[in-house]
Amino acid sequence: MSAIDDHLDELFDLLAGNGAAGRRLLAEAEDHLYAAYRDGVATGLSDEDAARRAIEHFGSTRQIVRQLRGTGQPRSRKIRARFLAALSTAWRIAVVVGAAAGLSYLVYGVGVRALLIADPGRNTTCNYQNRSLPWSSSCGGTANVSLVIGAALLTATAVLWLTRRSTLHRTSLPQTTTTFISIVVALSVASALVLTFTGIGILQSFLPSQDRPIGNVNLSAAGVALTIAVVYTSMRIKPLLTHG
Amino acid sequence: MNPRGQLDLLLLAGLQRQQPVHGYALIGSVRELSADAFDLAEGTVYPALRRLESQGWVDSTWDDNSPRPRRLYRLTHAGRQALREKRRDWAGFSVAVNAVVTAPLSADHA
Repeated sequence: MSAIDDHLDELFDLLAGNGAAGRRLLAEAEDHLYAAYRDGVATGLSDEDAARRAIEHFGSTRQIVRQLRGTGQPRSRKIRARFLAALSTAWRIAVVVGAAAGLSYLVYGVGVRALLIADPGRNTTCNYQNRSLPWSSSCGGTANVSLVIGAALLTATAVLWLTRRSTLHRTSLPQTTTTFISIVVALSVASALVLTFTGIGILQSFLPSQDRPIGNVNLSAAGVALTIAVVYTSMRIKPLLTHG
Repeated sequence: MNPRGQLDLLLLAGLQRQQPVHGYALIGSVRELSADAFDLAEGTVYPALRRLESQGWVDSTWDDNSPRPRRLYRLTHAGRQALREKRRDWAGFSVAVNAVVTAPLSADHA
């Protein structure tokens, strides 16, 4: 039942950093919610209504986690939890920014390559005012370097994401205590990417017609970064709006 | 009706009636006995049970026979003593509240 799974995911996020107490509460919540759901279905409720009622009766995840934290934690544990929260936030930002930048570079590299394949004799600039990127003097070389950078960034991002997931399971690294900060930082960096690609793209749109397709490629790369920023923000901001 | 101030008493009393018991059944029992009168966020019962456990009033173990991991709770000796005291306190409290809210009004305020 996806609504219950979503609720459990949210609880998992909030409980991380609470060690054994958090893991235990999560296991009990899972058992409780599914038992309540089964009982609801047995009394004739639809799947959705049974899940909704189970979640409503269970209560707000934040209220539950506040109560758990109120059961008493030593000061050293609170400091450790804050440190881990900061680490977790930095980790999350690296994943979001890496994904946005990696995909943007990949889109740019693929786009330029496609233009060159369609017209091998194309004599065009890959950067505004005929300036090539520092690492390459040709448009094809720029595309290749962008592809390599994009692939490297995406690989690094995937590794970061996977290690973060496994570390979360192993050490109960907290995730959401600094959700707001992670949104702000990730959005800022993604915005910088969007502005860069958009800026170059718009400038190239004013160049002679043969350079306009490159401008469009830049704009597409900006669109990818913008999409990732918007999707990430909408995913993270929902629990903040729901539970304050 | 929010039972928050008396949650410990309710849980200890519920545990005394039926133990060992897992959280969901305990909540169901309290809900049933109270005729669903309490506006209880069920999820908050688990931290409360953990708190009672840290006070030594409740003991718990994983239920090996359950398909999903769940804890079975039971009252400890200290928990039974605590329940007796809380029952006494509650009886005194409810008598006092009752005395105030059911006291007849004087002729001036009627």
